[in-house]
This record gives sequence, structure tokens and C-alpha cells, in this order.
Amino acid sequence: MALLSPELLARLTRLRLGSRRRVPGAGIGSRPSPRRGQSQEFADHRPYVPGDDLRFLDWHVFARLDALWVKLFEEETDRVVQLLVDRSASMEGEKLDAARRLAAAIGWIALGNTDRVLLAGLEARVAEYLPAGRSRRHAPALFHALEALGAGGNTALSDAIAALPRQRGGSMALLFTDLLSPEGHEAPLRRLVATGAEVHLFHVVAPWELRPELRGEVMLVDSETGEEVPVSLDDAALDQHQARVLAWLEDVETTARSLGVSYHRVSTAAPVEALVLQTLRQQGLIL
Amino acid sequence: MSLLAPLGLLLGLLGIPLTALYFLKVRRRRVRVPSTLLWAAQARAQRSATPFERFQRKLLLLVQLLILALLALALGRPVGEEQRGAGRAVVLVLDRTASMGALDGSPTRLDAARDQALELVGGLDLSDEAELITVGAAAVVEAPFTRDRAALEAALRQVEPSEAEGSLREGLELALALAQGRQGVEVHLFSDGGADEPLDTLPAGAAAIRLHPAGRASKNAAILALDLRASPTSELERQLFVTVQQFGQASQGEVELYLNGQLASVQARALPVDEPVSLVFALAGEAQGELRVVLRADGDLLPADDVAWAALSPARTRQVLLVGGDRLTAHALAQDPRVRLHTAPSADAATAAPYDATLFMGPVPPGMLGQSYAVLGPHPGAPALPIGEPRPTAALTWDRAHPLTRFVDWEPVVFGSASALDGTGGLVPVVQGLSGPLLLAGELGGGRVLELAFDPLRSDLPLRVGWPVFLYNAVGWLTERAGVSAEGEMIRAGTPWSTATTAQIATATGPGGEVPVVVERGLARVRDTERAGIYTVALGAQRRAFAANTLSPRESRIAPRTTLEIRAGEAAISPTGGSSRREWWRPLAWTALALLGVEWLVYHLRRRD
Repeated sequence: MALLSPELLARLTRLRLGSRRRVPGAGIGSRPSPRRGQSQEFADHRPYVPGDDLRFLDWHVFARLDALWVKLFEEETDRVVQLLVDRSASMEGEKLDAARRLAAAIGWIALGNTDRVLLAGLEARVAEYLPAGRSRRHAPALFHALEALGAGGNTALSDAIAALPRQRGGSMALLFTDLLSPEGHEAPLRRLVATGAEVHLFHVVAPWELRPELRGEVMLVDSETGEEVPVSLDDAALDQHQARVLAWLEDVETTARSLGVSYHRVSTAAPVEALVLQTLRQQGLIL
Repeated sequence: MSLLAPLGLLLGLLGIPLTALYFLKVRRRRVRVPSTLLWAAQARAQRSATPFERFQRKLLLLVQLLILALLALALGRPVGEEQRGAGRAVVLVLDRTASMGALDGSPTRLDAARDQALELVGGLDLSDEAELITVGAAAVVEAPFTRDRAALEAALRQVEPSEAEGSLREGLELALALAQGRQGVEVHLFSDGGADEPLDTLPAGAAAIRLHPAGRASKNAAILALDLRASPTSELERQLFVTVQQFGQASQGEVELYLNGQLASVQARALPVDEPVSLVFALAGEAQGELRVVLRADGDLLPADDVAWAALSPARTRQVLLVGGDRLTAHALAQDPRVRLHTAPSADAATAAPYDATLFMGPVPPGMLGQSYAVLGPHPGAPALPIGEPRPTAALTWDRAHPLTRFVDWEPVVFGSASALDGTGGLVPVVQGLSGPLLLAGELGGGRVLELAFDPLRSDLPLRVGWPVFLYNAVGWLTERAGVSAEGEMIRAGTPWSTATTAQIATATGPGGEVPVVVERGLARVRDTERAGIYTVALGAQRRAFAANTLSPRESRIAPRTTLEIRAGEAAISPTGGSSRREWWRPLAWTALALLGVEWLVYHLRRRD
């Protein structure tokens, strides 16, 4: 199954990946760096000091103001976009599907902007890893790796993140997960933030997780741990559960924001086109 | 507390599978979910539910078990001992006489009375004994004293209306007689009161008699008399006399005469209240068949007395045998155009051939029982035998309404010798003399018998005009029962009809279908004549018909009696001591039903939550 349709890929070609911050890259790329550089994009002026490259003197300013100012240009750097997809058993089905499609779309956009894109399938460890590649020539490998990403295993995102290879220069970590992990949601986010990457959390939620179509006496079996939880489900119990899930989602979002993590809630009911072309553009991640 | 049907408790065993099903129901369905992380709190919350909440979860099972227990207990028919009065003896006297057919009940008075009686039976205690007596033409015990309410109710439902006159007094006397020796006797009379029948002298004793009145209205027009006679002007013609009367409110009435179903004549009359109105219809002598008289009046409430029938026989001469009579008597009899006279010197001929009537002026032979005959003088073989020496006497009083005394003045008759009689021989005195009855008459074995206690040849009666008139009356009265009267045969509904016959087998058909006929010792008898209408009796090859009519002022006066005054026995029922048993299955069943409603409500409220 193709993750993205050709029409969508064509529409995504014109987009580029934004950033909340400037990060120093390991090589010349198309991303602004906090270091002023020699790109074509003007950034600022500063007074001339001896030793500055005379090529960057702004002669127009000198003519008008009779003062020596040096033009500063954005130094364009590349960066590593880490697509970290939770492939644990809890993601099986529509959640993993939504994560793969979204990751593919963002990866496609990133590869079009000279970013380097890597893919990691996470569970209790790094189960799949596609090293970073640049340009859209890397896209087929990325899509193939995403398609091959199957669900299984327990969730221990902190351990998996810790096992990721360190990236030089600036990086952007996009974590696609449901965060249903016994270790909780804060630990993996802290671990990811600690890598210095710009972290975006794509919290994948299926609508039926809020209010499943279940009634009566049910033994719930955890898909990862096999743990059994007996519950009596009626409307009242389902109401209570829904309230708990909503509170948990709120808590995750609050925690993420407090850690400087961009929080994007992804409903599996929403088509990926709408997510990328509308929601993420509104949130500034996609330009 | 004890159980009448302990096997009913076996229903409670259903509680075992019910409980098992309940726990089978909670065997949990296994559902694989991505994570139980967020469900753990729910499970903890449910585990930590309060005892009351856990109880609520089991509430449905508890309610269901309780319902089952109640139903099982109800099926077991528990009875509880209750300190109250001893069981009562309740006598239900249900009036089913003609007046109870009035249409101011539901729809009739009888239906309304039956409903009241059923309600009373439904309220009886187990310890109460009840008996059902109906009053139609006769008082009949339909259900003897019993505690079986179902049997009483079935008997009540089978009671059918009668079109005959009846006696409430007879019913109440029967009720009181059967309840003698019992404690706490209650007699419940379901009736419209039986008009003016005197009830105040009933020997009620300690029994309490309570009237459950039936009916409200009084307006009724009725045919009270019907008579068919030969025309005084022509032996070939007959006349139908009809007397109608209006009760309650005045009205306008029409009397229609139908002969064999064809309207023959109509007469309209104003019907003032309580005044008899007589009408006469002329009938041709050759007319025969079914005569039906219908009275139509506005607002009439009792249909039973609006129709009367007569079986119109073709005129036939009466075969009369005079045994040992004198010439004067024979001459007088021969002058009667209705009579074909046979004479015989001895009594042997009387039993040799069937005659419609036999007049003895000498000894009466044995074997006359069931036949109609007259003993004209104190002769051997008469029902009432003479004793002592005959003595001169005189007539004191006589029954002026009796057909035998019609147009006969007994007062101036000189009786040369009259014998004292040894009793009345089962007959009724009609003319009373100084030393005893002079004329007795009555029915013996189905035949009519009259007896003179004096020798007419030793009185001046044969010299008087009263003698041929008396013989005329006697022949008419004696042969009336033999079915040879040109006037047709009519009886009042509810009275037996009988006739002499040589047939061994007889059948009869009445308005309601076949009715039993008893043939015994040369006499055919139809007892069940409570339905008004024409009855046809087949006696071998011979067919006879007679009409039964209500013709009862007592029944037609339908104004209901609302109070009952019994002089004696006003004692209220005051049972003392002892205990009675009361069944509890009804409240148990109602409670189970209420709990079922609660269970349904709880179940649906939970679903809605």
C-alpha cells in the first residue's frame, strides 16, 4: 500500500518544514543558523570592525549615512530530521498507520528542503533504523522503511531514545507515539529534549480509545504486557473512562509544553492530508 | 401458617438455575486493547466501590430471587390462622322468578343479582360454608353447604331465569330449615323483593336475613289473564279473553293476536295504572293451532309477561260416563252440547274404556287413580269415606272463585242428609256445611276428583237450576285436565301438566327444546314448564299441546322491595371465639407483581444511565 498518493506528494513538494528555533547544522543546508553566514539571505547590519571582509560592507548605507556598516547574512545550515515512530504493540492498526503516513509526509517535505531525514522505529529498543539521508533520492528508502515498519513489542521509549545515535549539529526530533507506556509520558519526552533536538510530539489517539463500543462484564487484555483488567462497562463507567482519557491527554499536552515540546494531537479519524495541509501549517511546522 | 399446596414450593427450585445463569452472565468477555494503562483506574474504582454500590449491582438478582420466592410461596397457597369469628354459614337465596327478568339490571335484575352474589362468594373466608338456593317456580338447592367457592360460583353462573311465579317465602323457609343447627347463619336474599308476598312472619330464629335488592324501576305492562271459551251465542265460535294491566306509570298499549304466526287482530287501549283492562277477541270455531298474544307498551321493562300463548285444539266432544245415575242427571248432562254421554248401570265400565270424565252415583271401583271422576254422593270407594249416620245439614260457606261453584247458589239448597267424612281424602273442601264439607275437589294421582258428601237425590238441588249448572261446571272442570276442552289447554308457567294416556313412552318439546316427560301408571306428566310458551307432547301416535304462561300479578308488579322486614330473628351475626383461616396467595402474588415492576424499572434506569 502506498503511504501517500502521488497527488498528495505533488502538493507537498511545494512545502517546507519550519522550525521553532535556529539550530547550528553540521553542514551547509537551507536552514537558518544562529551563526551569521554567507548565504544569500540578508539578516542584519553591524558596525564595521577592522578585519571584517570588505565585501560585506554596505556601500549604500555608507553613501547615505557616511558610516561603515557590515551586512550580515543568514548562514544556511542543514539539519537532521529524526522521524521517531513508536512501533510498539499498542500502536498496532490505525494508529501505526496514521503515524507512518504522517511521518512519510513530513519526511518527504523535509527531504525537499535539503534536510537530512532519518527514521527510527521504537519500542523497548530501536527496532528499525534508517540512517539519515538527504534529498528526495532518499525518499524511496524512507517510504520503504516506513511501510516495512510493523507493530510489536513493548513500549519503553526512554530506553529506545537513549539508544538512538547522537546527531551532530541541529536536529529536529518528531516523535509519533500514543505514549501508552508503563513508564509514563514525561520520561521519554525529557530524554528526547535532553538530546538538544527540537522536539515535536505527535500524539496519536484513536477516537474509540476515548469511548470504546464495549458493554457489560469485560476482561481487558493489554496488547503489550498481556495484563488483564476486569471492568464492568456501562454508560456510567464509560463516561468515567472518557473523562480520565481526556484528563490524561490534557496532562500530556501540559507536560509537553512545559518541556518545550511542540504538541500535536493526531486523531486517526482525520486524514493525513488535512493534518499536513491544514493543522500543521496553522501550527507553523509546515510552511 | 400452613400450606394447602406444598408442591407449589418446588417452583422455588428455579432459583438455582437463575443464580447460575446470573453468574454465568458475569463471565467476562476477553477484549484485547492497546493498553490497559488508562483502564486500571477504572478497575480500581470499581473494586473500591462501596458495599452499597456492590449491593446495587446484585440488586437485580436479589429482586428476581425474591419474586421467585414469593411466587413459589403463593403457589403453595399458604393459609394463616386468624383470631376472628368462627366460620359462617352463609345461605345465598337467588330469586330467579319472572320479575327478575326485568331489564333494569345489568342487563336483567337476575344478572345484577348474580354479580352481587358472586362478589359475596369471592369475599368468603375459607372457613365459611355457603349454600345456594334458587327460587323459581319452586325453591331448589343448587349447591348444598360447601367451602368450595369454585363450585358455588359455577352453580351461580348456571342459574337461568324462570318465567314462572315463585315464592320467596318458600325459598327463605327452605334456607332457614337447611341452616338449622348451624352457628352464625347469614341468609342473603338476592331479589327484587317478590312484590307483596308477606315475609314478616318467617321463623328466622337467630339467623340474620339480608336483602340485596335488585332493580330500580316499576313501569311494566303485563298480560295477567288469558282465557279461551266457547262463545255463549254459538258453539262453533270461541272467544279469547285477555286482561292486561299497567304498573308503575300509565301508558298506551297494543294487544296483538297471532294465530299460527299470522297476525289475526290488533286492539289498542289506554292503560291506566293498576287498572285491569279486558279485551275480547272472537275466534272461528274451526281455528286451531298456536295462539300468541303480544302486548306492546311504551317503557315496558319485563318482556316475560308481554306474551301469552294458547294451544287452540279443535273442538271435540267430551266422552262422559255416568254410572248409576238417575234420569234427571242423565238428562241434564245430555243437554250439555259439549258432552257425549255414556251411561252404565255398574262401575265395571268405568275402568274398561277411557273416558274424559266419569260420574259415579254409586260405588266407585278401584283403579280410578289418575283419572278424572266425580263421586256424586257419599258412596263406597270415594276418596273421603263417609262415617256415621247421615244428617240434615245446610251450606255455610263456599269458595266462590272455584270453577265448580260458578253461578251456583248453595245457600238455599236443602240437604236432606249429609254424611260426615273421614278426613278429606286428599281433596280440598269447596263447599262447607254445618257438619263438615259438602263438596270436595282436588287432584289425585294426576286426575281431578270431586266428591259430594251428600246424596243429591236426598236434597232439592236437582230441582234447582243450580244442578245442571253444577254438572256443567263439573264436566268442564273434570275434563279441563284431559285436554278435550275447546277452550284450549293453558297452565301457569312452572306448574306441572299431566294427562291420562295408554302410551308407554312420551316425549315433549317446549319453547327451550326437549323437556322430560314421566309416564307412570297411565299418566303422562310434564314437570318442567318454567319457560312460557307452547309445549307439544307426543303420546304414542297421539299429539297434544298445551300453553304455559306467566300470568302472575305478583311477578308483573316489578316495583322492587328495598327493605325486608322480618319480625323474628333480627339478631346480628356475632360469631365469637375460634379462629379462621385466610389464604395469603393473593397478597403474595400482588407483591411479586409489584417487585417485577421495580425490577423492570431498575433495569431500565440503569440502561438509561
